[in-house]
Amino acid sequence: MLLSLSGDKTGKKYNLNAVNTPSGHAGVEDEHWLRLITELTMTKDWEKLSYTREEASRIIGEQKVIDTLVVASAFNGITRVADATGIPLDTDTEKNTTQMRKDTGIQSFNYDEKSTRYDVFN
Amino acid sequence: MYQKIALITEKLKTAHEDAWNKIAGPGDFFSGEERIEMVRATRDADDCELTITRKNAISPFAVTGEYAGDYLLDSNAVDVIRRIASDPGRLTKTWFAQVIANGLAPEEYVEVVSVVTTSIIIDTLHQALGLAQPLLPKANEGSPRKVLNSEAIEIGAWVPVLDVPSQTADHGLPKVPNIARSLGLVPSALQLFFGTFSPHYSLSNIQSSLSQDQAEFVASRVSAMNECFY
Repeated sequence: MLLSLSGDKTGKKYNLNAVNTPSGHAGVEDEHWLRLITELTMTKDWEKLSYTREEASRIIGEQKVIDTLVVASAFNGITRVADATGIPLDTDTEKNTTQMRKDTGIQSFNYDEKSTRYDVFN
Repeated sequence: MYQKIALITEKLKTAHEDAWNKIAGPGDFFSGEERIEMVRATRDADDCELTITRKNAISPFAVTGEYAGDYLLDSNAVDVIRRIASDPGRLTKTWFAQVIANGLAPEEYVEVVSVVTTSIIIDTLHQALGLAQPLLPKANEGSPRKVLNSEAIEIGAWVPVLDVPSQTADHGLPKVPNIARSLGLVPSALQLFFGTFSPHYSLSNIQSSLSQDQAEFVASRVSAMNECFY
């Protein structure tokens, strides 16, 4: 949803479906490398990440590689805070992103829908 | 921390070192020793058979058993830690209610969430940079302070949150978004987590070689991979 809000501010259109899937192009510069570095971090594929970091550093620069890891690691923590506290969306975000959440599949991460899916065994 | 990485800001390095020292406690509801055990139980999640089996099951509640590892924490707290560490996208309110019914007070739960998620930020960055995870700190002596925010309010989250006036910032989002209020039941827990998180990212005018939209692409991709609704 952050990228959608960024687009609202700048007037740039992003393909938000690409964020929720392992392929596709959202429309951000250097996206291939940002995606690869982020996904290897999230899947804890440290070996592949090690040589990807080197390759990406040659192409987009070491600072950008490190800053990608800085953002990814932070969100690896904060998403857990959100999920562990069941924190609701901010009022305006909830109002302004209804269609986008439906279109991109983010709505399926809603706490009630998760309960419906997973609590059957609980 | 990060001594060999010149391209990380001093602000971030200092924030992580501060957080590591604070984890060594005591906190408000757990001793320093117990808080360090939370980090250990978080790290051990990747090697725990029950945790791995649960993560791969169709429902995280379909598999029962005992977690590997021996900690100075009760099994209820270990369950919270292992699920947050390994499968945060499938936590549910029913599960949370059971955790509370099994004896973990909401303020204790908030402190566990804060310590675990703070350590995940620090460990993730170390591992992603090809560095060894930092050594566990030595526990500081002392008793938990038992300070909680009695003015925390209900806004539909699983736990009471920080009460703040509703104000919109220039970027169009609330000045204090709900996520920044989420750990507000325990002020030290809120401070520990967001003191660590803040040097990594900001909602506008990000101080980074990444543009705002690049940072938000990375953030959004992590969010999607963790199946995070917020």
